[in-house]
Amino acid sequence: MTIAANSVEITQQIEWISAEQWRDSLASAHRQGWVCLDVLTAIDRPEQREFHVVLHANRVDSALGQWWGVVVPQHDAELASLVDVFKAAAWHERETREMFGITFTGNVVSHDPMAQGLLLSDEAPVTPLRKHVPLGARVDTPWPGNADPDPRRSATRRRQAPPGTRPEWFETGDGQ
Amino acid sequence: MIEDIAIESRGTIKLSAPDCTSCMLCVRECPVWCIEIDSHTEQVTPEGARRPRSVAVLDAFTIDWGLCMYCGICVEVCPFDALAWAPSPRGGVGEAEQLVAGIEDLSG
Repeated sequence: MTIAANSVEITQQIEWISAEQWRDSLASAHRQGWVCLDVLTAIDRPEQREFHVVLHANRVDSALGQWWGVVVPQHDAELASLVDVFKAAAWHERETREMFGITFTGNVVSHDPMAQGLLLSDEAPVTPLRKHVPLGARVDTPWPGNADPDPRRSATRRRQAPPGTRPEWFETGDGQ
Repeated sequence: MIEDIAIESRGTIKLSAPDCTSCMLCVRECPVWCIEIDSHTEQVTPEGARRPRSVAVLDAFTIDWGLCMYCGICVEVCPFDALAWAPSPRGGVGEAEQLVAGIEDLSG
């Protein structure tokens, strides 16, 4: 993962692990001192029909942090839970399950029907962080970039998709 | 031109209205849609010129600081350096509407 900060490139390595090795590799990392689970979340990659599940953990004996990642196919979105490695993974996995629809096998809470709704209300869209799910505010708000000072230029301007939107969000409804 | 300052000084974003050509690049690149430009074109004939030419006139330029995430893409894309970072952060406001800053506010 490369983060450009103030034109100086800070490069943080991400260690990719196979889905089969996910739990064992992180258990091993935990034993080696990566004990503080910082974040676990996912990235929807619809074009690749996969998710990236990424995890960042810190040490307590130094200021170091490290990323781990795993590719999870969308047709079989299941991954071994890390709750027995990092207790804090329970929350992050439930959240990732609710936001992306990934099941974490072994995370008992995420299978408990009483614990289905963690953060979202019943009216909220299902798996809202999947990219095909429209952002309501982006669909309803007129994009300020549609304005053009020069009507002649407006007529010939190549239409650009508003940033932060996907074309499929506008395919139904008013047909923009 | 606004004085060049270190990129680290992300206090606020200033506008130099005379340098703005209403090209809309910042508006269209802004990931959070926090910039709005209202402008129109006027025909002016410079002295000695044979034909009038169209000039964009900036009517309104607003940044909604309630939406802005200080990414600085607008500063990066502005071809005329009409937008620039300024070191002093903005003060707080009492009402959400006051977070929408216009030309005068942004030029100060």
